[in-house]
Amino acid sequence: MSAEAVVTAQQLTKIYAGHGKRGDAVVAAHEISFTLYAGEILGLIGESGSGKTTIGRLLTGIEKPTTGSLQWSSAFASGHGQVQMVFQDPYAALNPFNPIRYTLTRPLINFRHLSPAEALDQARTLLTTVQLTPPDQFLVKRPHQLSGGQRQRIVIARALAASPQVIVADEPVSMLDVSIRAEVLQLLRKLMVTGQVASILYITHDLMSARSLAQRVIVLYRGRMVEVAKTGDLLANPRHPYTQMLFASIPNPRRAFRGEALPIPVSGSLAPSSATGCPFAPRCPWVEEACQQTAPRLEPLPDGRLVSCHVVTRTATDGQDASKVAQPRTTTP
Amino acid sequence: MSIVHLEHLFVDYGRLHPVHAVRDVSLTIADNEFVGLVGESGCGKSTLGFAIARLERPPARITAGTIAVAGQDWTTADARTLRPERWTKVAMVLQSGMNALNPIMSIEAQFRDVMMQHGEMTVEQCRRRAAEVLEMVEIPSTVLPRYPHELSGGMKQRVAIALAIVLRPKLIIMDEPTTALDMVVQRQILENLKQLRREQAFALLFISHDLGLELELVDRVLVMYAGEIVESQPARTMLDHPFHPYTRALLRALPDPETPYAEPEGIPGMPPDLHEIPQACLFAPRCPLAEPECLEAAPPLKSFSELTLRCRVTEREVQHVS
Ligand SMILES: Nc1ncnc2c1ncn2[C@@H]1O[C@H](COP(=O)(O)OP(=O)(O)OP(=O)(O)O)[C@@H](O)[C@H]1O
Ligand SMILES: Nc1ncnc2c1ncn2[C@@H]1O[C@H](COP(=O)(O)OP(=O)(O)OP(=O)(O)O)[C@@H](O)[C@H]1O
Ligand SMILES: [Mg+2]
Ligand SMILES: [Mg+2]
Repeated sequence: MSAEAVVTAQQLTKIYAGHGKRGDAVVAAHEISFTLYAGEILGLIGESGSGKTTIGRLLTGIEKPTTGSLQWSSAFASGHGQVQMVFQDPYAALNPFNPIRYTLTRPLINFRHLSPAEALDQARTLLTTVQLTPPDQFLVKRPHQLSGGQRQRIVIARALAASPQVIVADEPVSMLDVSIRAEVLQLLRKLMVTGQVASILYITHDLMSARSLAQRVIVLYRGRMVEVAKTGDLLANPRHPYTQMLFASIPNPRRAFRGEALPIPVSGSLAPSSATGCPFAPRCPWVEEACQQTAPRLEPLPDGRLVSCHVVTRTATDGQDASKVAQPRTTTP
Repeated sequence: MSIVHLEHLFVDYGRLHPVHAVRDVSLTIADNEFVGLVGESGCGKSTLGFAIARLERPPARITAGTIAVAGQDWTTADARTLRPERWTKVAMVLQSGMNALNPIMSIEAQFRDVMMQHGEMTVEQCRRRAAEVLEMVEIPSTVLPRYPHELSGGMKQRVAIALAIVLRPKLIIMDEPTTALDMVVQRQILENLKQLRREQAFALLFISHDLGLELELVDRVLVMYAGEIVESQPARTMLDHPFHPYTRALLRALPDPETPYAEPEGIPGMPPDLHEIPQACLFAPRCPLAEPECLEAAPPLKSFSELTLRCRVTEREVQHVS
């Protein structure tokens, strides 16, 4: 990997103050540290509520961290619009009354101060970049005249209009049909390869969609990083019990036809995690005494990945694999 | 015995310029059979699901064909005849099932509402049965006094499933019950459904655009394209021997967790505009195997033993396999 850093997140923590009846504060992100490198698509994976969007928003600067900071490398710090976000829902992201021409030229005129003629020209280029050709055919369309995949490409084109260094793609395909996901993911990769953007943070709850796209993956659980690894290593051998749970959750008809049970139970306890212990302990099949007492830290394993799990760290030093050492709990409360 | 039997069903939208959103669909769902209905967005899955339960809403209209449920003709049955059959014969769980719960009623009150409409039950009996079905979907009965907004999306969806099974219907129709949820929660629901099946007999029509999910859960998959059923096959054989080029494309679009680095492929092109349906194979413009004849006449639906197929090119391969 070309190791030129674009931006480094240092110990980002975001706490939302309590509101409503219960009024508990929410730790949406806890001491998140990572570097986004030039030429890299970094995957950010976790279940609903794990803090993925929060981290994306912190990166864009829309949201300020409670503590911690972002360090932009000078070569990539261009100020306004350097990070653009692409959201999950291409149906809600576009104003149904505006033709595509308006959607694309407006940010060019307002933010990049192009003349209307220049903006129109640039809009054509953007449509070509996202492979909606011939562009003039799409400029006159309104969102309802486009398929979901085409709409998501318009959303991506609009994000590119600001000439960002980094795109945060927040579940860009999870609302789309399986049949059109591949085209949108391929487009993201192409933006990277052709140097349209320096790097992409790809947010998803679907490990499989990150597989072909991201070179590296961060797995989040309740606002904390639990595993950071090269995508290939992660998929070949997920180490954290939560990563294993994510992996086991992928629909797998072949495994079902062979009559194999899930390698790890996926239904967890509803009990809240203890304040001091590992946040995953209530759902963990390997939970031990230590897990209830102290939260594990991210520790490197010999293959270079980072894992935050007492059991994995303990067994890795003997060159063992935790999943083969720890006794899975047979029943889940 | 079959719980559902459709013959040549058409469901249209609009009166002035009607389009057939469901076109000439014939199918049978056997008692206790799990059937999947798969196809891309807009192909008519929800329209068909709603029509089977006779929950279609204007401008949707059944314009031809018949629907029989448990041997009874539902095609022309009016709302009054059908009301007692809802929840007891056929129950439906929607994609937004989580939002289908009444926000101002406690979970327990919603169970009571459904159960008391359909027979003499005491409050205590209702509570016990509700706790029992909630347990089947791994929700503790402590949620009974709670309100929907206090539950996560995944919990609400499982409550909606528990509500659907509470009166032991013979058929449950689930319209994308997991599409809005994350993978782990989807897996939980999948496991819950497999477990439920061991505890209580019912047939399932499971609607989804994810063929992998369907193949893992159901006995047989119906593949729908532009309002038509183009292939029906047992899940076990479909995975390795898909016939219709569209089914094959859906499988290629699916990441296979057992072959680590294969890249899923998209399906280029778009489904036809339902307003301008040609007399031809509707998939032909996107089909890598299309022959000149495919563009000239609509292929007939042919039945082989366990396979139903609407493709004149791949039907020639059938003999070689079976
Ligand atoms: N503006 C806010 N005010 C209060 N709490 C918030 C706010 N935004 C997010 N949260 C909380 O922070 C946590 C993380 O939320 P976030 O949206 O980052 O999760 P996510 O991983 O993106 O989830 P999803 O997959 O559902 O989009 C959640 O518990 C959420 O309820
Ligand atoms: N209320 C309506 N009025 C007119 N046309 C409609 C209406 N609802 C649906 N349609 C059309 O009927 C067709 C089938 O829609 P349907 O909702 O059944 O598809 P679906 O397969 O369930 O799609 P999805 O996967 O997006 O839920 C679509 O072409 C749609 O545009
Ligand atoms: Mg989010
Ligand atoms: Mg639908």
